[in-house]
Parts: sequence; structure tokens; C-alpha cells
Amino acid sequence: MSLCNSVLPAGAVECQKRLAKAKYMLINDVNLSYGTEADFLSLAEHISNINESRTSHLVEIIGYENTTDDPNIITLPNTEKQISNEPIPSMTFNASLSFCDSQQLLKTLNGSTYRVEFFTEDGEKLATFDEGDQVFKGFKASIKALTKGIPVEADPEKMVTMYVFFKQYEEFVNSFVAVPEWGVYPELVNAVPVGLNMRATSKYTSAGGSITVKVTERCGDAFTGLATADFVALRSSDLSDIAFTVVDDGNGAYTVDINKDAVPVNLEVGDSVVIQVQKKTSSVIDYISGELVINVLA
Amino acid sequence: MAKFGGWSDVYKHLSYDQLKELSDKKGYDKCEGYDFDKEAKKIGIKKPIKKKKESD
Repeated sequence: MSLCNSVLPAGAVECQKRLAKAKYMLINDVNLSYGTEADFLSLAEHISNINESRTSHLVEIIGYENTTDDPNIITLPNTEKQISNEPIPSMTFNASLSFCDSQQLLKTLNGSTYRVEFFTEDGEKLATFDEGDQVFKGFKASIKALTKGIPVEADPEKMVTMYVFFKQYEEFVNSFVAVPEWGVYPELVNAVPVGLNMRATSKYTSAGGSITVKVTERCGDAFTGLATADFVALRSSDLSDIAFTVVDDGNGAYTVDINKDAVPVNLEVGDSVVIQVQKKTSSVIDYISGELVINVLA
Repeated sequence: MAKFGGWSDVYKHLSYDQLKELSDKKGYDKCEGYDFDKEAKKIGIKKPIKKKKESD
């Protein structure tokens, strides 16, 4: 599969190329994999993952640090040295984020498990090859974003740091590198949906049956013209037939009626639903908001 | 003026009267240019045709 499979450091030219530094990261759904090398390098597949299925999230890395522990080296009674472990890689990184983006990231990257792929400055794509399942996929990792809260005097991107703890050393031993014919910029960058902010401006009560929200283009202007079809329920407390009816109140304000059940009724105390704005052209998401959790109050 | 954003497809299975009851309850008729029949038709719910009474 790879010219560099055998140890040929002084041999074939292809094997002497060093990996350039990481420039972009794809944070993928933990179940995302590529069945073939063609899929692994397919621009259409990557774009679809970013703006249709939303199983890939592109992040531009501004700075990063490899925080992998050094291995334990023990000295045997005969003075021979041995390595007693294989430290699993870890890293921290800072990303190119607006303040509003970072706020969304803090809510999203909360220690859950993802699969991470890297794009280097030279356009190489680094991931792992699973010989058992014969698929290409990102490195499995838990990711948590933490903020220092207070605006940073220099390097504002360092206000939020992502901690990436990889799960399996073997995945790095089985790393796979290939160079797509396309570039992350502009092809993938341009495919990323425009971010919206959605915040509740009232509380949903069982008696009222609706919530009012304000939608803006990230921290910018009011986002107008949304309709019922642009609001989706991502998750709920096992509710059925969740239906929205949206009224555009103007200037980015919307009243969202939320009902449940086959014969529509208001949500009840204890119900919860997570909603999001996804404005699409056909199946492609052009605009997407953060998630808004609605817990029904008395 | 508030603008009605359309009915959800989730309501497709409702009868005309059930959807009308929901509309009245929520007061959507106050929205600018709201036409219940037109909005209901967009999700496939049409106003029932009243049958003429048969003459003796």
C-alpha cells in the first residue's frame, strides 16, 4: 500500500518526505470512515460530510503543542534499558475562531469522543488505516474545549484551548498519508455553513406552548426570513411527532410554537427538546445555528 | 408585522378541522397576509367539499 512500508530512510525519494506541520483539523463523528482510498480523497464526500450530513467539522489550527508523555524507560538489573509503555499521543491546540464560534465550540466539544484527521501545510491528509475493517478513518480522541474566560492581552485565539486526548497508540502506528488533488482552502473552507447564533428571549411554558428566539449572523446582524422548515429538532426526551410552527416577528425575532404527539399538544413539564436552525438549499446546509436546549417549565 | 412561517410537514396527517382548531388557538390569523386554506394546502390539507343535500 505504501512505498514507505519497509524501512527505507535512505532509499526511495518518496520515503524521505517529512510531514509538514498541521494546518487544519477535521473533527469527525466517531462512526465516520472511508471505505476506499478514493473516498478518503474525494472532495465531494468531504463537502457532503461538512454541509449535508454534518459528520465533519473543519477547524483551522493557529497553534498547537504535542503533549504526549515521554515513554517510561526502565533499567534492568543487568543495566539493559527497556521501554515499558507506549504513551498514547495527546495535544492541545488553538483555533481560528470568532468569539461567538468559540462559545459554540465550548458547548459542543465537552469531552465527547470524535475521530480526528489532519491536513498539513503541504496539503497532506493524515489519518489511520484500520486493517481489520479495511477502512480509513480519523484518530479516535476525546476533545474538550476550555476557556480562560478573560480576554487575552496578546494572541486572542489562546483564550480558548482544545485538549485532545487520543485513544489508541496503534492508530498512529498505522497512520496513512495521502495528498488530495484539492486544497482545504478554498474548497472545504467555502463549504462550511455560515454560523448563526440563536438565543432564547423567553421561556417555554406548558401553558404558553411557544418560545421566542433571536437569531443573528454569529455576533453580527439580525438574521431575517426564516420559516418553519428552517427549524429542526435534534434530540428530545423521547417525544414523538415534534412539530414547530414559526412566526417571523421581524428583526431576527421569531416565535416558535412547539407541539408533540399525533394530536398536537403543548410540551409538558419535564419535556425537553434541542432545536437548531438549519437553512438549506435542497439538502445543503447554507446557515446553521448552535443548539438551543429547551426545558419545559411549569 | 408578524409573518406566518408555514405549517410543519409533521401535521400532514391532521384533518382540516384539527389544523384549523390549532390555527385558531394560536391566533395565526393575526399574521400579515395569513390565509389558512392556502397554508393548509401547502402541506396537502384541503378544505372538505360539502355534499349537497339530496332532494326528496
